[in-house]
Amino acid sequence: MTFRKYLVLAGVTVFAAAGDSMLSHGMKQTGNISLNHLQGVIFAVLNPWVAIGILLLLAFFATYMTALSWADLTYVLPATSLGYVLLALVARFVLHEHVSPLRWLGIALITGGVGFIAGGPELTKHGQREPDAVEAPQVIGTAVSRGAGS
Amino acid sequence: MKRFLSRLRRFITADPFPRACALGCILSPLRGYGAVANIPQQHSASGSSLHVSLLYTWSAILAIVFASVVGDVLLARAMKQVGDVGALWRRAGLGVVIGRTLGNPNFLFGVTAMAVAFFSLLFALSWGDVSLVAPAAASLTFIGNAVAAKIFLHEKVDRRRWIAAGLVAAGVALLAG
Repeated sequence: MTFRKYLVLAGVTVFAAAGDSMLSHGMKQTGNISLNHLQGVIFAVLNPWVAIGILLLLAFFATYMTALSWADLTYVLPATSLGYVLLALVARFVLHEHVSPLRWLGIALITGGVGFIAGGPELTKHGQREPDAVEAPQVIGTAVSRGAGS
Repeated sequence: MKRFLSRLRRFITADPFPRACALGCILSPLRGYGAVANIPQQHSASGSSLHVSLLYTWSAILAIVFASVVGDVLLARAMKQVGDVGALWRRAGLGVVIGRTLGNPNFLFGVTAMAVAFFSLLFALSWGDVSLVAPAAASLTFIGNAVAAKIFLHEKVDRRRWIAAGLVAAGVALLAG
C-alpha cells in the first residue's frame, strides 16, 4: 500500500460522507417534492447544496471505482465504512447533536473492524497458488493438455 | 401515496444516506421520480395486516441486499478487468480509463443492479419504517458482500476479514438505526 492508495481510500470515505450530508442538508431546504409539481425536482437540483452533494457523490463513485481496481471488495467496503463514523463525529462536534451510547458503541465496532483489516494485505494474489492447492494431478493435467494442443 | 412520499423524504434527509440510494439519485433523478409515480397505492401499515406488511418489508430488504451485492460484485469484477486505474492513467491517459470502464459490460450491469437496489429501496420504504429498512439493508449488505466476494470473486476472505465484516455490519446497524 502506497501513500497514494491510502489517499484514494480516504477520498472514498470523505466524499461519501460529505456528499451525503450536503445532499441531506439541501433536501431539507427544498422541502417536499410533490408529484403534482415535478418541476420541484429541477429546483432541488438547482439548490447549491444538492448540486455540490451530487458532485461530491460523483467524486465518491470515481474514487470508489479506482480503489476497486487495485483492492479487494472485502477490503474496500470495511475500510471506507469509516464514513459512518465521520458522519457521527461531525454530528457530535460540529453540529453539537446528541450521540447516544448505542451509537458510540457502533462507532467503536466500526473502528475496530477497520483496524482488523488494515493490518492485512489489500489484494488477493491470484497469480500464485497457495502451497496446499498445488497438487500433482493438476500439473499432469496441464502438461497433457499442453501436449495435446501442440 | 402521500404517506409514501413523506417516508421517502424522511429517508432522504436521514443520515447516513446509503450509497446505493445516492448512486440511484445521481444516475436517474427524473426516472426515479417517474417510477415513484407508477407505484400503485400502498395499503396502510396501521391497518389489519401488520404481519403481511412486515413480510413485504423484509422481502423488499432482501431484494435491496441481493441487488446491491450483485452490483458491488459486478463493479469490483469490472474494475479488476480494467486494471489499476492509476497505472493505466499514466500509461494511456484519462480518456482510455473512462472509455474502458464505461465500455465494460460488467460495469454497465453493475450500475443497473445498483439502480434496481435503489428502486427496491423505494418499495421497502413504502412498506416499512426507515429505522428498520436502513440499518437492516446496510448491515446485511456487508455480510452478503463478504460471502459473494469469496464465492464469485475468489477473494481470500480469511478470519481477519470475516471479523471485520461482522464488526462493521454490527456497527452500521447501530449507527444507521
